[in-house]
Amino acid sequence: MKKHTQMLLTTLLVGGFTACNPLQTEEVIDPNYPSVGAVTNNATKAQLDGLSIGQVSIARDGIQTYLWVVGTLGKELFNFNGTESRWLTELNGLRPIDNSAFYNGATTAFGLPVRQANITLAAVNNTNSVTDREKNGYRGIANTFKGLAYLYMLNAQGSNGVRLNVEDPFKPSKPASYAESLTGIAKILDDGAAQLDQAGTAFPYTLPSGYAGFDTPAAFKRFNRAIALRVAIYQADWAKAATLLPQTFYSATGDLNAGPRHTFNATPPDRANPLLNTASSQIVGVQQVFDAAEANDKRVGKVRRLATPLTYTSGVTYSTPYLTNMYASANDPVPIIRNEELILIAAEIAAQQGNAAEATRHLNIVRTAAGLPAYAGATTRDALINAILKERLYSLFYEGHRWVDMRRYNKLGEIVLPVAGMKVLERLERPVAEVNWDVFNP
Amino acid sequence: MRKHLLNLILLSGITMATAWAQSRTLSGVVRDANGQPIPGANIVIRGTNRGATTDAQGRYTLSDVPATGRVQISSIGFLSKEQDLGNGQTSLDVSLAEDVANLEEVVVSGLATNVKRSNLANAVTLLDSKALTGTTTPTTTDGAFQGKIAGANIVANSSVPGGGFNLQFRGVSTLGASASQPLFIVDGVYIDNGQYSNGRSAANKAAAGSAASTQDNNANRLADLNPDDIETVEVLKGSSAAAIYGTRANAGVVIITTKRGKGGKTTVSFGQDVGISKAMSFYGGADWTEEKLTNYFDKSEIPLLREAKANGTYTDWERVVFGGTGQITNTRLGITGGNERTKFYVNGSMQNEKGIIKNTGFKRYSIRANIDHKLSSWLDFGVNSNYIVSDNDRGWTGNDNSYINYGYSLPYTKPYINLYPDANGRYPDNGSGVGENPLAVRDRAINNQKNNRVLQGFTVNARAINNERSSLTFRVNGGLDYQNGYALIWLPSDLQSQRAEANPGFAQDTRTEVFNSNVQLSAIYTQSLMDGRLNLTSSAGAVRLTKYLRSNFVRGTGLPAGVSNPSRGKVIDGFVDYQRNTDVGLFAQQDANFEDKVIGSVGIRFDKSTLNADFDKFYAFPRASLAVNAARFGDWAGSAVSQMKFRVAYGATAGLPTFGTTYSQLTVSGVGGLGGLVPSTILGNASIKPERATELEYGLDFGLFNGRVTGELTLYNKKVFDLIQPLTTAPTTGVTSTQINAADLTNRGLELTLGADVVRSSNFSWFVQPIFWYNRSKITRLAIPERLTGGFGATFGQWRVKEGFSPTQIVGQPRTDPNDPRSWTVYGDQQPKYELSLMNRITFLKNFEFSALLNYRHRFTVVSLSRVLWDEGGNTYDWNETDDIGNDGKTPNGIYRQNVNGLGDNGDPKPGYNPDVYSFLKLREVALYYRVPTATLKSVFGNTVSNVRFGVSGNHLLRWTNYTAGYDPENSNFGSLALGGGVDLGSSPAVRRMMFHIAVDF
Repeated sequence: MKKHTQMLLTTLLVGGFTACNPLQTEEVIDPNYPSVGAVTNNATKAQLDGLSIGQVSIARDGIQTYLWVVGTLGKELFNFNGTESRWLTELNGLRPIDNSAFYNGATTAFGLPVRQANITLAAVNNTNSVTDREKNGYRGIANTFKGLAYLYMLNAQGSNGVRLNVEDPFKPSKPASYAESLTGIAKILDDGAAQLDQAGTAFPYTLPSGYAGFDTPAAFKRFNRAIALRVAIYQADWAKAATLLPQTFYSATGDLNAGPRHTFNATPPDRANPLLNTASSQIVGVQQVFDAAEANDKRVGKVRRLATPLTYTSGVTYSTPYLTNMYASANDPVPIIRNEELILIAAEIAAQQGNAAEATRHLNIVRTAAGLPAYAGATTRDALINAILKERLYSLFYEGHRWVDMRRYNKLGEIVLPVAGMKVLERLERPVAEVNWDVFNP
Repeated sequence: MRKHLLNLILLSGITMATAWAQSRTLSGVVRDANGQPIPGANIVIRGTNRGATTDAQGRYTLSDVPATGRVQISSIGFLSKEQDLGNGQTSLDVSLAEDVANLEEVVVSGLATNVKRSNLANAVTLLDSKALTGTTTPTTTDGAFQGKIAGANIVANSSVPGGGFNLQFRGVSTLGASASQPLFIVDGVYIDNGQYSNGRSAANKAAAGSAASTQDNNANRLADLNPDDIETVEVLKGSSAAAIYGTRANAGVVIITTKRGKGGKTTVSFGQDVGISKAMSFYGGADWTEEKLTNYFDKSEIPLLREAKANGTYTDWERVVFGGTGQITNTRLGITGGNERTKFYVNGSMQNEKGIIKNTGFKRYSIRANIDHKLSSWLDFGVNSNYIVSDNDRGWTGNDNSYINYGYSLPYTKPYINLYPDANGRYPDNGSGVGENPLAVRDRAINNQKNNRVLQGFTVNARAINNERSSLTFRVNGGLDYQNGYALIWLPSDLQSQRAEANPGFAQDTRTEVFNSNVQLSAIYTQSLMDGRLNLTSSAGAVRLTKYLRSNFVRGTGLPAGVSNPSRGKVIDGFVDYQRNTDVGLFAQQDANFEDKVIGSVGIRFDKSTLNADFDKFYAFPRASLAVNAARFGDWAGSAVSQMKFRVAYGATAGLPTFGTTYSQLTVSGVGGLGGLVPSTILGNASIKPERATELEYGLDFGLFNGRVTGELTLYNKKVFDLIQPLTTAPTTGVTSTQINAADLTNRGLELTLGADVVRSSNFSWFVQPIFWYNRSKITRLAIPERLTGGFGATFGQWRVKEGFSPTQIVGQPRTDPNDPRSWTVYGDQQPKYELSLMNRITFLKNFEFSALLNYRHRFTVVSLSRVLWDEGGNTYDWNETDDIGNDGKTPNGIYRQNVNGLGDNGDPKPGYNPDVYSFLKLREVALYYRVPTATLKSVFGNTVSNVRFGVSGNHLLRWTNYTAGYDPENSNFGSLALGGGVDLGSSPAVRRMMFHIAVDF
């Protein structure tokens, strides 16, 4: 009896074992996201649209850290960050700069847009699901944002340069020199412009509302050429700049704020405007900058004068009554490049090419708009350049230009130091991971 | 059930055919060293499977005793004894010595087999319920491990009730890419000990934007297990002991066995603890003067200071928030009993522990039923069911970027600012640029985590063969662990910090569903050869484990006043995450025991897991061990040396890649109502392999003077290969890292446990147990660039992963060579030079018992950002003094320290914010108990009450430390990270607990 029961049980056990083989397992496919591999071969139009929209979206990556870091380095604004004193101490040379700190983001955050563009370009080259015109539309957008991302990266790194070839993340090129980097960025933008020329009359999908007026290949190219113009003036290639200017959306009579902009929305997968002041992070205007503004300069409205100055006491003591006033809502857009900058570039080209009248005319467009009298200073090249740099300080406040402008004219030493002992750094350090990669992969 | 079966196996193993001479009866009493009767002791005639068990008065009667023979007397917790019977002897009274070194305890030797500790070839730490919960009642089980396990580095993440511990056995076994915490198995069920994110670090921006963060400061889910249910804990610290657990065992295995019914008279046990907790120390308190404001802060606040001092509203807010008293209550009611066929253990408990901070606390309701039943002589089964509800208010401490955490706002809050609410209950805004009122957060914000959990285990044993020479048992066991967690974070929209937000108010509802199940089929064959002198046990089987995790949250910001439902926010964000994996293992093991003199074992396990890139590949994990009980050979018998065991063991284990390591994902980033696809900056690795470890462990166990002095010395060398490391790419490529098998490391260490019955008399006995251990880790291969990880940048110190150095080495600014960006200053190692524990147990006047556990950790390095907060805020206790090391006697320490960093001339760190080396000595546990004598109970209650014990106890009542950079050097803002866990930032004071206990058995 017992024997029989045991045999029965054993049979059941063995039977159960073989019926559903407990040793068999199946590969687990990522239950959360699609894979990069899915778009590299025969991508569909919807996938290419997704990559291109992603490109437009992540063009906003890093602008927060970039604008705050570059603004601090140029002593136009400070980040009164109650929980992070390194914004004021290390970035102003009061404590040693760190190559592994959060402010590396001003360089590294622009790596992903470059990779996004490279993946898009590869995906476009390896599919038959769209027309050649549509392909060139995707390519033109990708190369424009790739050039823009590289330019931010290069601004932060200065003479350290950038890696121009990163298609294989395990075999990136060594950083090029500053001049080579600018040349490489110009080439990327030029490629984009040429592709936009071959992209027909409409993009394969509708760009977001921030690109209203720039949402056809021809119009988008004017944005592309505006970035190329920035590169040209950084190269001090005034002849090329003069050629590029009319290809941009420059308009001496147009709205100074015209230009493509980043839009925001707090509801995911979109994101909120990252430049809003919060309880722990208040972006303030440097007092010395705004105290020095001419009377009635409307551009001082970019900051709000508080009755009680804000005082920062962590690691360094500094007071200023000027709190930035440019962004109030999570949906406020942030400009990428504006007509006001193009007009000031026009003035700069003219000054550099010895055309004082044209330079003064452009200066006065901006001054008049700011409610200021016409320029009455000297009209030597140097005087005009100084005047342009000053207008750029107020016109392009919080847009990431002061430090870069003063550096390209070797005038970092002329930046007013708000606190004794502060220094103006010439560039950010190469991030530790960049250094280590080259040490390990000579 | 397991023990029961084991007895059968052992008995059948030692069964011998002997001549039966009829027939006499043997009876007597079994007592302990103090003369107290031992109920439940076993008396077995050697060479037979016949025996008897003592009753409540320690009495036994054995019939059919052969004319000549030998009996073995044993009881759990005592050293067993063998005695020859005289011709015609009919009575035998025995006194058993307490088994202070747990030599008689049975511990696991394989997935289906056990071995007596005295025959074990590994240094397995065994904690019984007395060691675990006998002194004081811990909040959580892992909290009760501190100072009791040689070779363990256990750090509490936070002092908030509800747990949160980082357990590291024998150094570090992963550099972060595999499980850093040991595998926990409760009655054969693989249980989950994860820490599940609740969005707290998104709410306070400590890690803004991330879906899951190690900075959420959560409890690990072992907190759900009621420590009082535990009978024993076996800690398999290294690969040699844990090899048979294969692919999940790299960080060690903790095997928990819960209490089971022993049969006999039904006993009802009631226990009640009542206690309090208080902050151990404060860190702030510096006075404020007009001069201080003028020279170093904002002199425009002088009128506020004057007013507060004049009105008497000048308040030390740290003491207001952290100066509270937490109340502890813990109630247990258990029933055990049964008969020959059915035994049961049922225990319910309610634990309610409030923190020193108002509105923090931990509640746990647990009910467990363990039932064993014998269907027939060859078939039995057991089931273990445990349902747990836990409810944890974690409060707001740790890192923060918005002043919400009071651990962060208090260092900056000036005593002359009023924070108390007005008559209408409205909280004023904080002043001096501090963006939040800590009292408002404490009273109004919610950080709550609840968990509903079922642990269900089962075992079925079928003995196909069971005779005197051999037995064959088939076993099916396993179970499931299902938990459904619910966490709520709420920051009301009218809080000061929230009003400054674009969308004020933050609420997040997080649900986490975790399911683990495991089934094991095994066959165990035992045979007895050479007249019972050689016993062989063969076992083999298969294991299958499945885990899934489904978590999701809804986050709402822009909440209308008073609304805590996140779905009603202006901006609603959601997140869903899925994980699942299946592991399959095959194992076989052969154990041999020759006369308890030489005990050998070899085994192998093959494992595959869907977490590996090659999901269908089996990896092999061999093991082998040998123990030689030298004292059982020849002339040793009868000498002062009662035990002398040499042992050596080798084994291999592995650690699995974390879920998702193989995937290169396209994530989603949208703009203007369009959804875009964006590659993750982390690249998947489609060829990732598990991290593998091998360990050679050897040692010596000895017992002197009949076990009065015992010792256990172990040396080990654990090598871990193919450690998964992030290959950090140049981030400007758009790829920040990918995980590769890139490093090897070694852990070498020494563990020494001594035990001595210093005094053993009926009126006074003193048992002392010193434990000493250390571990040295070294990276022996690194195929990626050296890197820093953890912490908050090199200014404050980070963990350095570099070949030839310890992975827990902490380095930081400044660079020793300004031209070499990697020439960091070395500040020491997070692992202590050594750790030392001293357990004392003194019984006196028969019924009093005093015990104390001291734990000393020598020279370990701490990364602290706490002091910089307090110094910047002007509140550090010694801010106004001018006496810190190197200070000029004129500058306040709080100012001086902000600018002195690096090493001084003597090589010691300057008192700035760099890491520093500290030590501590803590009185972990102390207690005094009184057991009401049985005679008294009898005269008062008759036979109703069998046992009454009451006493007082405390945790961490005393502490000595040279730590000056925060509240307590044991702290971890980052939870259970393998590297980077121990960072003190925005923490709350360490806590001492004091309790009164009463326990009654009916």
